[in-house]
Amino acid sequence: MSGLLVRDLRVTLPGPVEAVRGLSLAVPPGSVVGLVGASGCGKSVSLLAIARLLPKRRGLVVSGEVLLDGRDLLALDEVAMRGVRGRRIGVVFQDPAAALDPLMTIGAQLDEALAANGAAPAGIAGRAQALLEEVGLQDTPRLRAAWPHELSGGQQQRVVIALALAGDPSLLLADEPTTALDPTVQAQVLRLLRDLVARRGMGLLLVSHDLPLVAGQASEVLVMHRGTVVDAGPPRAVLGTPRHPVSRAMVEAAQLARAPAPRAAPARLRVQALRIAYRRGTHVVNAVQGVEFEIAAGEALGLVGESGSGKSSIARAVAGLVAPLSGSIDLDGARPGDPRAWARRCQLVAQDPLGALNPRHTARRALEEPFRIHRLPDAEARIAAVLAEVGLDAALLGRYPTQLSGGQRQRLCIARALLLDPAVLVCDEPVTALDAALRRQVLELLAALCAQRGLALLMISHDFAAVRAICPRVVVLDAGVVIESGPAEEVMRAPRHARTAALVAALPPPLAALGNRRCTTHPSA
Amino acid sequence: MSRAGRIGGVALRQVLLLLGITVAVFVLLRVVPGDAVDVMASEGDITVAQEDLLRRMLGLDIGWPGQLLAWGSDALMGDLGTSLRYGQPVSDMVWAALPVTLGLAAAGLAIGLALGVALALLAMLRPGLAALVDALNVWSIVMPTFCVGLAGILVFSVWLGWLPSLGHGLVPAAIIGLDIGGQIAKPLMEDLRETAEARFVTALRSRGVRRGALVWRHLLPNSLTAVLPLAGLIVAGLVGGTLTMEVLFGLPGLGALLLDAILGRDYPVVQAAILVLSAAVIAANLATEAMQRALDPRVR
Repeated sequence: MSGLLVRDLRVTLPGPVEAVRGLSLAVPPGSVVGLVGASGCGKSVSLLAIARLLPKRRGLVVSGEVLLDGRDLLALDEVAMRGVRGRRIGVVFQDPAAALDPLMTIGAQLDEALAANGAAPAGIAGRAQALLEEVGLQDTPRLRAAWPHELSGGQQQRVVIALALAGDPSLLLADEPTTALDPTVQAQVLRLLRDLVARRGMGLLLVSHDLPLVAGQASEVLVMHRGTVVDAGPPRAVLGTPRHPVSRAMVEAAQLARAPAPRAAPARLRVQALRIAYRRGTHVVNAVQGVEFEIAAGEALGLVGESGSGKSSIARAVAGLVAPLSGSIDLDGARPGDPRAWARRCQLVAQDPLGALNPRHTARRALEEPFRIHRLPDAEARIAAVLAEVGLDAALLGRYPTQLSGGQRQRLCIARALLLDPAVLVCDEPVTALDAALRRQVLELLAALCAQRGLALLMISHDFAAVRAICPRVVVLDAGVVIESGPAEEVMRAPRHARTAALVAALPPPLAALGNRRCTTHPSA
Repeated sequence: MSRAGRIGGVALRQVLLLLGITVAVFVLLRVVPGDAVDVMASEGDITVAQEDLLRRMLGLDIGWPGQLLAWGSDALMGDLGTSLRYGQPVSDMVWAALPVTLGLAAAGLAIGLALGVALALLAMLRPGLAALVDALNVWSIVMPTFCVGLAGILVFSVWLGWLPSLGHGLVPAAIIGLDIGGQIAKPLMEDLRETAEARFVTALRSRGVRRGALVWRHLLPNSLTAVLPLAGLIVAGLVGGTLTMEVLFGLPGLGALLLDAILGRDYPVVQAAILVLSAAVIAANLATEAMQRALDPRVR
């Protein structure tokens, strides 16, 4: 048959770790097949094994059959395989910034990819132009001369897609192609991929942890768990009547709760006329201008916006890490100033839990740190109490950050922030790095902590769905200015500003809506 | 700040640095007991009266601030003075020695870079060679170049009788090259290995880019930017190695000149030699920075 046919793929990584245990799937030309699973389920390893891109190491064993248009790729030697990569199979990667050579201009990388796939030197310029236009980029001398770091995430991913198409492949493998992108950009890139599949008649294997996202794109969904496919079928069947506990859990995890309606309460944290600016050489860049909000005890406020909207600057200012140019931050009459005193009242949970933990310190050491810094007694007892509160097993205390799962790491960071009994907790994209099941768990934890401890919680995110799950009220930012605020449900139902509408439109459709069509697009598409 | 302003600021800092080094050397030389006349006195019969006369003639009878002023005003006019021992203009002596030193340093650097890059690349492609890189790295760190130089004289001149032990530049250049190559091969190899696992390399492979292009066009430039900050180490090794080799192999370069001048307390010659060496090191550092900017668009 034509297209991709994988039979009983098994991958053992050095360790040995049985990463993939008997994967079988088919991607006919012109179809989109989704491979979904939690982090560590073996989906990315499968994709790399299909393209034979796993790093060669002693102990790497790949068996089974990977038939592309009837030819078994696993039986090819490296030279023959090089002819397949690019010309028959194109790959799109998760983090586009990391998938481009930082020292080469976009034009040079395009030319190289075209030359590697046998384009005649005379035709390269024209082909490059056609490719850039096909992925929705304007072919200008400026774009060709640009370095990867000068492009936005969406532009970078479009370039990566153009590079993957350079050899006119009949199969595209995409590994979390939109996970690192902003929601509105996510929707655009997904639409581009779908258009390409339709126009070129390519097969697309879409690998992701995001079930609603995949279900919106694919004609068939495979749910992977611990190296094997546990559930498969059209999205409607998998979502509607999940046969396996794993897919059932994924469907449930995708359905986030809704926070209760806002209620009136006296404000605890008051932010007024906040202005934050950074110095770049001689000129000043305004990151935040005239932002105001209030949070009551036991209330969660969502701060929503795309990258560059100034939300992380606000998080840092509230946490006392950057001094605002003007305006005030007021907590029961106290203001950030003395960092140590402010840290006892207000704590920050940073976006990337792995980056926020010292890799050479154990979990125990990370939790003892606040007691050392503030010279406080009773570390043992307080740590035990907070661990129970965040649901982290004390047996994990001896582990290093890399030995913990993503969810455990985020719980550890939250536990560390709670040790000093703060009045305010600032969470910067607390669930963005987590997959669906963990996202739901951490959100539930944050909501519970907020209610039980009477915390004033400031949650910062680009993800309206996550914010709505715990925040009764939201503030929407764009270019450093508040463009809208109000009850979360109201803002989402009837956004008054175009940017808000775009953010809401970029959300995956409700799962129930997916059941109606075999293949649906996003509402924005 | 404008580009011209930035470059002007950098230039001013380097000039001040050079000035500071010069003054420090000037003062240190004179604080150490004994001067050129003492050395001459120890070499032959000179009466105390003749010593006083010599000191007056050579301008050594006034305190160091006065000498600094006199030397500084001459140096600003381009006159680096006259050798206290040989009576020749210092600039002539430095000019004569400079080509020897530059030639040796350039040859040593070329051999070192070629050796270091070649070994690092080979060791990345053939992991078995990593042990060799490690061994050479330890060797270049612990073995003083003069020990290797002495061994080189013993092996090539005394035992093999290939070349006259004095005056031949090939062996000293090779020894300097070995030292530099050993120091850069290991960090470069480790960075190459890390870069080989980078996502963009997998992406390049996924597009069917050939291994040769992968290594030369992508891996090596990326790893070179990572090890370029080590250039300071290389320059230090180059200066030390060049001076040592000149003395050891009797090459009439700056090193030999400097050693002779220090032993003879020939102040103007020492000052001029150190001025030239410092300027060379500063120039090398600026060149490294310029190279970093040229290679890596992210630091521009």
